[in-house]
Amino acid sequence: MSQPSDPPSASDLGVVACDECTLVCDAHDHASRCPRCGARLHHRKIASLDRTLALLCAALVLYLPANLLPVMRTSQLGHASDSTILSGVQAFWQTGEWGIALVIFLASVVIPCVKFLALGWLVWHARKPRRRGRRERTQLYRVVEFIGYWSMLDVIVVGLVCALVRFKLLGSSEPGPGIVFFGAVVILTMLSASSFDPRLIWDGEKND
Amino acid sequence: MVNWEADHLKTYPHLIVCKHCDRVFRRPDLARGQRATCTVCGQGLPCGAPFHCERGLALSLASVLVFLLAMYYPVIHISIRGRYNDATLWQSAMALSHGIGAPLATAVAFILFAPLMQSLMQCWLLAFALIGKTAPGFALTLRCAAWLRPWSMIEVCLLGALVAMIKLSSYMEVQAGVGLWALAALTLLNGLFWAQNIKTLWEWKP
Repeated sequence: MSQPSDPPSASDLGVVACDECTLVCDAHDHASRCPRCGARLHHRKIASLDRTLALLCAALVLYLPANLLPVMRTSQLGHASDSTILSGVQAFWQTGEWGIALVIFLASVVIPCVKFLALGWLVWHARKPRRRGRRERTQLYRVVEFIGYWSMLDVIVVGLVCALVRFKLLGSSEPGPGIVFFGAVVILTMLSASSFDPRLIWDGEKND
Repeated sequence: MVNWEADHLKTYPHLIVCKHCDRVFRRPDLARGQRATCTVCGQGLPCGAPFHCERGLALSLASVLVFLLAMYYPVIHISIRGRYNDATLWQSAMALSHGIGAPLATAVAFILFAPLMQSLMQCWLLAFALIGKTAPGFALTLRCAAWLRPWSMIEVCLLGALVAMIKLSSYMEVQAGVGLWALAALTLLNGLFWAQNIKTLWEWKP
Protein backbone atom coordinates (compact mmCIF):
# COMPACT_ATOMS: atom_id res chain seq x y z
CA MET A 1 0.00 0.00 0.00
CA SER A 2 1.19 3.45 -0.85
CA GLN A 3 1.32 5.65 2.23
CA PRO A 4 1.01 9.44 2.12
CA SER A 5 4.60 9.67 3.39
CA ASP A 6 5.91 7.66 0.44
CA PRO A 7 8.45 9.53 -1.67
CA PRO A 8 7.27 10.71 -5.11
CA SER A 9 8.08 8.71 -8.21
CA ALA A 10 10.51 9.99 -10.82
CA SER A 11 7.90 9.99 -13.58
CA ASP A 12 5.57 12.11 -11.42
CA LEU A 13 8.37 14.65 -10.94
CA GLY A 14 9.21 14.61 -14.65
CA VAL A 15 12.78 13.40 -14.08
CA VAL A 16 14.50 10.22 -15.19
CA ALA A 17 17.51 8.38 -13.76
CA CYS A 18 20.16 7.21 -16.22
CA ASP A 19 20.13 3.38 -16.33
CA GLU A 20 23.92 3.29 -16.58
CA CYS A 21 25.30 5.91 -14.22
CA THR A 22 22.18 6.65 -12.10
CA LEU A 23 22.41 10.43 -12.64
CA VAL A 24 18.98 12.06 -12.32
CA CYS A 25 18.12 14.32 -15.29
CA ASP A 26 15.21 16.35 -16.55
CA ALA A 27 13.32 14.33 -19.10
CA HIS A 28 11.32 16.26 -21.60
CA ASP A 29 12.09 14.66 -24.93
CA HIS A 30 12.62 11.06 -25.91
CA ALA A 31 15.97 11.16 -27.65
CA SER A 32 17.88 12.66 -24.71
CA ARG A 33 21.22 11.30 -23.68
CA CYS A 34 22.69 11.35 -20.21
CA PRO A 35 25.10 14.30 -19.96
CA ARG A 36 27.49 12.29 -17.76
CA CYS A 37 27.82 8.92 -19.51
CA GLY A 38 26.13 9.35 -22.89
CA ALA A 39 23.61 6.53 -22.47
CA ARG A 40 20.12 7.05 -23.86
CA LEU A 41 17.62 8.09 -21.22
CA HIS A 42 14.41 6.10 -20.93
CA HIS A 43 11.51 6.49 -18.55
CA ARG A 44 10.97 2.75 -18.92
CA LYS A 45 12.86 0.08 -20.85
CA ILE A 46 11.67 0.10 -24.47
CA ALA A 47 8.91 -2.41 -25.31
CA SER A 48 9.79 -4.13 -22.06
CA LEU A 49 6.81 -6.46 -21.74
CA ASP A 50 6.79 -7.48 -25.42
CA ARG A 51 10.50 -8.27 -25.40
CA THR A 52 10.32 -10.15 -22.11
CA LEU A 53 7.41 -12.23 -23.34
CA ALA A 54 8.93 -12.90 -26.77
CA LEU A 55 12.23 -14.09 -25.31
CA LEU A 56 10.40 -16.13 -22.71
CA CYS A 57 8.27 -17.88 -25.36
CA ALA A 58 11.37 -18.63 -27.43
CA ALA A 59 13.01 -20.13 -24.34
CA LEU A 60 9.89 -22.16 -23.55
CA VAL A 61 9.85 -23.65 -27.07
CA LEU A 62 13.52 -24.62 -26.83
CA TYR A 63 13.01 -26.05 -23.35
CA LEU A 64 11.26 -29.09 -24.85
CA PRO A 65 14.15 -30.36 -27.03
CA ALA A 66 16.52 -29.40 -24.20
CA ASN A 67 14.81 -31.96 -21.98
CA LEU A 68 13.91 -34.59 -24.58
CA LEU A 69 17.17 -34.80 -26.54
CA PRO A 70 20.27 -36.35 -24.99
CA VAL A 71 22.71 -33.90 -23.41
CA MET A 72 25.56 -36.40 -23.44
CA ARG A 73 26.44 -39.65 -25.19
CA THR A 74 28.76 -41.94 -23.26
CA SER A 75 30.30 -45.02 -24.79
CA GLN A 76 32.18 -47.69 -22.90
CA LEU A 77 33.71 -50.81 -24.48
CA GLY A 78 31.65 -50.35 -27.63
CA HIS A 79 28.42 -49.88 -25.68
CA ALA A 80 26.89 -46.41 -26.12
CA SER A 81 24.26 -44.80 -23.91
CA ASP A 82 22.51 -41.45 -24.10
CA SER A 83 21.63 -39.40 -21.07
CA THR A 84 19.16 -36.56 -20.82
CA ILE A 85 19.06 -33.94 -18.07
CA LEU A 86 16.48 -35.86 -16.07
CA SER A 87 18.12 -39.25 -16.51
CA GLY A 88 21.37 -37.72 -15.23
CA VAL A 89 19.59 -36.57 -12.09
CA GLN A 90 17.94 -39.99 -11.76
CA ALA A 91 21.29 -41.79 -12.04
CA PHE A 92 22.72 -39.79 -9.13
CA TRP A 93 19.57 -40.34 -7.11
CA GLN A 94 19.68 -44.10 -7.60
CA THR A 95 23.33 -44.40 -6.63
CA GLY A 96 22.44 -42.67 -3.37
CA GLU A 97 24.19 -39.36 -4.08
CA TRP A 98 21.19 -37.25 -3.14
CA GLY A 99 23.09 -34.04 -2.50
CA ILE A 100 24.55 -33.87 -5.99
CA ALA A 101 21.26 -35.02 -7.55
CA LEU A 102 19.56 -32.15 -5.76
CA VAL A 103 22.13 -29.57 -6.95
CA ILE A 104 21.70 -30.63 -10.59
CA PHE A 105 17.93 -30.86 -10.24
CA LEU A 106 17.80 -27.35 -8.77
CA ALA A 107 20.08 -25.81 -11.40
CA SER A 108 18.68 -27.58 -14.47
CA VAL A 109 14.99 -28.12 -13.72
CA VAL A 110 13.77 -25.99 -10.83
CA ILE A 111 15.52 -22.72 -11.74
CA PRO A 112 14.39 -22.66 -15.41
CA CYS A 113 10.81 -23.54 -14.39
CA VAL A 114 10.77 -20.90 -11.64
CA LYS A 115 12.00 -18.36 -14.19
CA PHE A 116 9.26 -19.28 -16.69
CA LEU A 117 6.50 -19.08 -14.09
CA ALA A 118 7.82 -15.97 -12.33
CA LEU A 119 8.47 -13.91 -15.47
CA GLY A 120 5.14 -14.97 -16.98
CA TRP A 121 3.38 -13.97 -13.76
CA LEU A 122 5.23 -10.63 -13.61
CA VAL A 123 4.40 -9.76 -17.23
CA TRP A 124 0.76 -10.73 -16.75
CA HIS A 125 0.48 -8.52 -13.66
CA ALA A 126 2.39 -5.63 -15.21
CA ARG A 127 -0.21 -5.42 -17.98
CA LYS A 128 -2.86 -4.78 -15.33
CA PRO A 129 -0.97 -3.25 -12.42
CA ARG A 130 -2.51 -3.86 -9.03
CA ARG A 131 -1.53 -2.31 -5.75
CA ARG A 132 -1.59 -5.51 -3.75
CA GLY A 133 1.64 -7.50 -3.62
CA ARG A 134 3.78 -5.00 -5.49
CA ARG A 135 6.61 -5.24 -3.00
CA GLU A 136 6.46 -9.05 -3.16
CA ARG A 137 6.49 -9.04 -6.96
CA THR A 138 9.54 -6.76 -6.93
CA GLN A 139 11.24 -9.24 -4.58
CA LEU A 140 10.28 -12.07 -6.93
CA TYR A 141 11.96 -10.20 -9.78
CA ARG A 142 15.11 -9.83 -7.69
CA VAL A 143 15.10 -13.59 -7.07
CA VAL A 144 14.74 -14.27 -10.82
CA GLU A 145 17.62 -11.90 -11.56
CA PHE A 146 19.79 -13.55 -8.94
CA ILE A 147 19.20 -17.21 -9.81
CA GLY A 148 19.45 -16.58 -13.57
CA TYR A 149 22.93 -17.74 -14.41
CA TRP A 150 23.20 -20.75 -12.10
CA SER A 151 21.48 -22.87 -14.75
CA MET A 152 24.66 -22.67 -16.82
CA LEU A 153 25.98 -25.30 -14.39
CA ASP A 154 24.93 -28.26 -16.52
CA VAL A 155 26.59 -26.82 -19.62
CA ILE A 156 29.90 -26.46 -17.76
CA VAL A 157 29.61 -30.01 -16.34
CA VAL A 158 28.94 -31.54 -19.77
CA GLY A 159 31.81 -29.55 -21.31
CA LEU A 160 34.27 -30.67 -18.63
CA VAL A 161 33.22 -34.33 -18.69
CA CYS A 162 33.43 -34.46 -22.50
CA ALA A 163 36.86 -32.81 -22.46
CA LEU A 164 38.09 -35.30 -19.84
CA VAL A 165 36.68 -38.68 -20.81
CA ARG A 166 38.43 -39.43 -24.09
CA PHE A 167 39.84 -42.93 -23.80
CA LYS A 168 38.46 -44.41 -27.02
CA LEU A 169 37.60 -48.01 -26.07
CA LEU A 170 37.81 -47.62 -22.31
CA GLY A 171 35.22 -44.88 -22.40
CA SER A 172 34.44 -41.61 -24.13
CA SER A 173 31.81 -38.90 -23.89
CA GLU A 174 30.39 -36.57 -26.49
CA PRO A 175 28.01 -33.65 -26.04
CA GLY A 176 24.49 -34.27 -27.35
CA PRO A 177 22.17 -31.80 -29.09
CA GLY A 178 20.12 -31.34 -25.90
CA ILE A 179 22.85 -29.32 -24.22
CA VAL A 180 22.90 -26.79 -27.08
CA PHE A 181 19.17 -26.19 -26.64
CA PHE A 182 19.59 -26.04 -22.89
CA GLY A 183 22.34 -23.41 -23.17
CA ALA A 184 20.07 -21.38 -25.46
CA VAL A 185 17.23 -21.62 -22.90
CA VAL A 186 19.48 -20.28 -20.14
CA ILE A 187 20.74 -17.37 -22.26
CA LEU A 188 17.26 -16.50 -23.54
CA THR A 189 15.73 -16.50 -20.05
CA MET A 190 18.59 -14.30 -18.80
CA LEU A 191 17.91 -11.83 -21.63
CA SER A 192 14.19 -12.05 -20.93
CA ALA A 193 14.71 -11.20 -17.25
CA SER A 194 16.95 -8.27 -18.12
CA SER A 195 14.38 -6.84 -20.58
CA PHE A 196 11.71 -6.77 -17.89
CA ASP A 197 11.37 -3.36 -16.27
CA PRO A 198 10.42 -3.78 -12.58
CA ARG A 199 9.22 -0.16 -12.49
CA LEU A 200 6.20 -1.34 -14.48
CA ILE A 201 5.07 -3.21 -11.35
CA TRP A 202 4.67 0.18 -9.66
CA ASP A 203 3.07 2.06 -12.55
CA GLY A 204 -0.60 2.76 -13.04
CA GLU A 205 -1.31 3.41 -9.36
CA LYS A 206 -3.62 6.29 -10.16
CA ASN A 207 -5.93 4.00 -12.09
CA ASP A 208 -7.13 2.02 -9.11
CA MET B 1 34.63 15.10 -19.77
CA VAL B 2 32.87 14.33 -23.02
CA ASN B 3 30.39 16.90 -24.20
CA TRP B 4 27.22 15.30 -25.44
CA GLU B 5 24.73 17.15 -27.57
CA ALA B 6 22.22 16.97 -24.79
CA ASP B 7 24.46 18.93 -22.43
CA HIS B 8 21.68 21.44 -21.80
CA LEU B 9 19.74 18.84 -19.80
CA LYS B 10 19.26 19.90 -16.22
CA THR B 11 20.68 17.35 -13.78
CA TYR B 12 20.04 16.71 -10.09
CA PRO B 13 23.17 15.09 -8.62
CA HIS B 14 21.76 15.35 -5.08
CA LEU B 15 18.87 13.00 -5.94
CA ILE B 16 18.77 9.25 -6.44
CA VAL B 17 16.08 7.07 -7.97
CA CYS B 18 15.32 3.46 -7.02
CA LYS B 19 15.73 1.44 -10.20
CA HIS B 20 13.03 -1.05 -9.19
CA CYS B 21 10.15 1.20 -8.08
CA ASP B 22 11.13 4.60 -9.51
CA ARG B 23 10.89 6.46 -6.17
CA VAL B 24 13.05 9.55 -5.71
CA PHE B 25 15.21 10.05 -2.63
CA ARG B 26 17.80 12.55 -1.49
CA ARG B 27 21.21 10.95 -2.14
CA PRO B 28 22.50 9.89 1.30
CA ASP B 29 26.07 10.41 2.48
CA LEU B 30 27.33 6.94 3.24
CA ALA B 31 30.42 5.80 5.09
CA ARG B 32 32.45 2.83 3.90
CA GLY B 33 30.54 -0.42 4.35
CA GLN B 34 27.17 1.33 4.66
CA ARG B 35 24.34 0.66 2.22
CA ALA B 36 21.09 2.46 1.53
CA THR B 37 17.89 0.60 0.68
CA CYS B 38 14.67 1.89 -0.83
CA THR B 39 12.00 2.31 1.84
CA VAL B 40 9.23 1.42 -0.60
CA CYS B 41 10.42 -1.77 -2.35
CA GLY B 42 13.51 -2.79 -0.39
CA GLN B 43 15.96 -2.67 -3.30
CA GLY B 44 19.48 -1.45 -2.55
CA LEU B 45 19.92 2.08 -3.87
CA PRO B 46 22.76 2.56 -6.37
CA CYS B 47 24.94 4.68 -4.10
CA GLY B 48 27.71 4.16 -1.60
CA ALA B 49 30.90 5.55 -0.15
CA PRO B 50 33.36 6.95 -2.72
CA PHE B 51 35.05 4.09 -4.59
CA HIS B 52 38.25 2.90 -2.91
CA CYS B 53 40.52 2.93 -5.97
CA GLU B 54 43.67 1.37 -4.44
CA ARG B 55 41.71 -1.56 -3.11
CA GLY B 56 39.80 -1.96 -6.38
CA LEU B 57 42.98 -1.85 -8.49
CA ALA B 58 44.78 -4.36 -6.26
CA LEU B 59 41.86 -6.78 -6.49
CA SER B 60 41.49 -6.32 -10.26
CA LEU B 61 45.21 -6.90 -10.91
CA ALA B 62 45.15 -10.01 -8.71
CA SER B 63 42.06 -11.21 -10.61
CA VAL B 64 43.85 -10.88 -13.95
CA LEU B 65 46.79 -12.97 -12.72
CA VAL B 66 44.65 -15.61 -11.07
CA PHE B 67 42.41 -15.75 -14.14
CA LEU B 68 45.44 -16.63 -16.30
CA LEU B 69 46.29 -19.45 -13.89
CA ALA B 70 42.68 -20.67 -13.93
CA MET B 71 42.69 -20.81 -17.73
CA TYR B 72 46.19 -22.18 -18.27
CA TYR B 73 46.23 -25.02 -15.76
CA PRO B 74 43.93 -28.06 -15.86
CA VAL B 75 40.91 -27.92 -13.60
CA ILE B 76 40.58 -31.68 -13.16
CA HIS B 77 42.95 -34.64 -13.59
CA ILE B 78 41.56 -38.13 -14.10
CA SER B 79 43.13 -41.54 -14.35
CA ILE B 80 41.65 -44.94 -15.13
CA ARG B 81 43.59 -48.22 -15.46
CA GLY B 82 46.89 -46.48 -15.94
CA ARG B 83 45.56 -44.02 -18.47
CA TYR B 84 45.63 -40.38 -17.66
CA ASN B 85 43.94 -37.22 -18.88
CA ASP B 86 43.26 -33.65 -17.76
CA ALA B 87 41.25 -30.72 -19.04
CA THR B 88 41.31 -26.95 -18.78
CA LEU B 89 38.18 -24.80 -18.90
CA TRP B 90 39.08 -23.71 -22.39
CA GLN B 91 39.24 -27.34 -23.56
CA SER B 92 35.82 -27.97 -22.09
CA ALA B 93 34.38 -25.05 -24.08
CA MET B 94 35.98 -26.54 -27.19
CA ALA B 95 34.61 -30.00 -26.36
CA LEU B 96 31.12 -28.54 -26.75
CA SER B 97 31.79 -27.38 -30.30
CA HIS B 98 31.04 -30.81 -31.82
CA GLY B 99 28.47 -30.68 -34.63
CA ILE B 100 25.67 -28.22 -33.89
CA GLY B 101 27.40 -27.14 -30.70
CA ALA B 102 29.40 -24.32 -32.30
CA PRO B 103 27.06 -21.48 -31.15
CA LEU B 104 27.03 -22.88 -27.61
CA ALA B 105 30.82 -23.22 -27.57
CA THR B 106 31.09 -19.58 -28.69
CA ALA B 107 28.75 -18.46 -25.92
CA VAL B 108 30.66 -20.47 -23.31
CA ALA B 109 33.98 -19.07 -24.57
CA PHE B 110 32.54 -15.55 -24.20
CA ILE B 111 31.32 -16.36 -20.69
CA LEU B 112 34.75 -17.76 -19.76
CA PHE B 113 36.54 -14.62 -20.92
CA ALA B 114 34.01 -12.11 -19.55
CA PRO B 115 35.75 -11.94 -16.13
CA LEU B 116 39.12 -11.24 -17.78
CA MET B 117 37.71 -8.43 -19.93
CA GLN B 118 35.97 -7.03 -16.87
CA SER B 119 39.12 -7.07 -14.71
CA LEU B 120 41.22 -5.50 -17.48
CA MET B 121 38.69 -2.69 -17.91
CA GLN B 122 38.63 -2.09 -14.16
CA CYS B 123 42.46 -1.96 -14.11
CA TRP B 124 42.40 0.62 -16.89
CA LEU B 125 39.86 2.86 -15.14
CA LEU B 126 41.36 2.57 -11.68
CA ALA B 127 45.01 2.97 -12.70
CA PHE B 128 44.16 6.32 -14.28
CA ALA B 129 41.99 7.29 -11.32
CA LEU B 130 44.91 6.64 -8.97
CA ILE B 131 47.16 9.09 -10.79
CA GLY B 132 44.31 11.62 -10.71
CA LYS B 133 43.30 11.42 -14.36
CA THR B 134 40.16 10.37 -16.18
CA ALA B 135 40.95 7.28 -18.24
CA PRO B 136 40.52 7.65 -22.02
CA GLY B 137 37.13 6.20 -22.91
CA PHE B 138 36.08 6.36 -19.24
CA ALA B 139 32.31 6.36 -19.84
CA LEU B 140 32.32 3.56 -22.41
CA THR B 141 34.72 1.37 -20.41
CA LEU B 142 32.77 1.77 -17.19
CA ARG B 143 29.50 0.98 -18.97
CA CYS B 144 31.01 -2.15 -20.57
CA ALA B 145 32.47 -3.34 -17.26
CA ALA B 146 29.09 -2.96 -15.54
CA TRP B 147 27.30 -4.63 -18.47
CA LEU B 148 29.58 -7.68 -18.34
CA ARG B 149 28.76 -8.33 -14.69
CA PRO B 150 25.88 -10.85 -15.15
CA TRP B 151 27.84 -12.71 -17.84
CA SER B 152 30.80 -13.42 -15.63
CA MET B 153 30.11 -16.88 -14.21
CA ILE B 154 33.23 -17.84 -12.28
CA GLU B 155 31.27 -19.22 -9.33
CA VAL B 156 29.11 -21.31 -11.67
CA CYS B 157 32.27 -22.72 -13.32
CA LEU B 158 33.61 -23.56 -9.86
CA LEU B 159 30.46 -25.43 -8.85
CA GLY B 160 30.34 -27.08 -12.29
CA ALA B 161 33.89 -28.39 -11.85
CA LEU B 162 33.02 -29.79 -8.42
CA VAL B 163 29.91 -31.52 -9.79
CA ALA B 164 31.93 -32.96 -12.69
CA MET B 165 34.49 -34.31 -10.21
CA ILE B 166 31.84 -36.04 -8.13
CA LYS B 167 30.15 -37.34 -11.27
CA LEU B 168 33.35 -38.96 -12.52
CA SER B 169 34.67 -40.12 -9.15
CA SER B 170 32.49 -43.25 -9.15
CA TYR B 171 34.14 -44.53 -12.36
CA MET B 172 37.74 -43.33 -12.09
CA GLU B 173 40.29 -41.58 -9.95
CA VAL B 174 39.81 -37.82 -9.87
CA GLN B 175 42.13 -35.08 -8.64
CA ALA B 176 41.70 -31.33 -8.39
CA GLY B 177 44.11 -29.36 -10.57
CA VAL B 178 45.73 -25.96 -10.10
CA GLY B 179 42.94 -24.49 -12.27
CA LEU B 180 40.32 -25.47 -9.71
CA TRP B 181 42.13 -23.74 -6.85
CA ALA B 182 42.60 -20.70 -9.06
CA LEU B 183 38.85 -20.68 -9.77
CA ALA B 184 38.15 -20.75 -6.03
CA ALA B 185 40.58 -17.86 -5.47
CA LEU B 186 39.00 -15.94 -8.35
CA THR B 187 35.53 -16.36 -6.86
CA LEU B 188 36.83 -14.87 -3.63
CA LEU B 189 38.62 -11.96 -5.34
CA ASN B 190 35.56 -11.09 -7.43
CA GLY B 191 33.35 -11.26 -4.35
CA LEU B 192 35.66 -8.82 -2.54
CA PHE B 193 35.71 -6.50 -5.55
CA TRP B 194 31.92 -6.45 -5.91
CA ALA B 195 31.51 -5.64 -2.22
CA GLN B 196 32.07 -2.09 -3.47
CA ASN B 197 29.56 -0.71 -5.93
CA ILE B 198 31.48 0.05 -9.12
CA LYS B 199 28.78 2.51 -10.14
CA THR B 200 30.00 4.87 -7.41
CA LEU B 201 32.96 5.41 -9.74
CA TRP B 202 30.66 7.65 -11.78
CA GLU B 203 30.85 10.22 -8.99
CA TRP B 204 34.64 10.21 -9.21
CA LYS B 205 36.24 13.48 -10.32
CA PRO B 206 39.91 14.09 -11.13
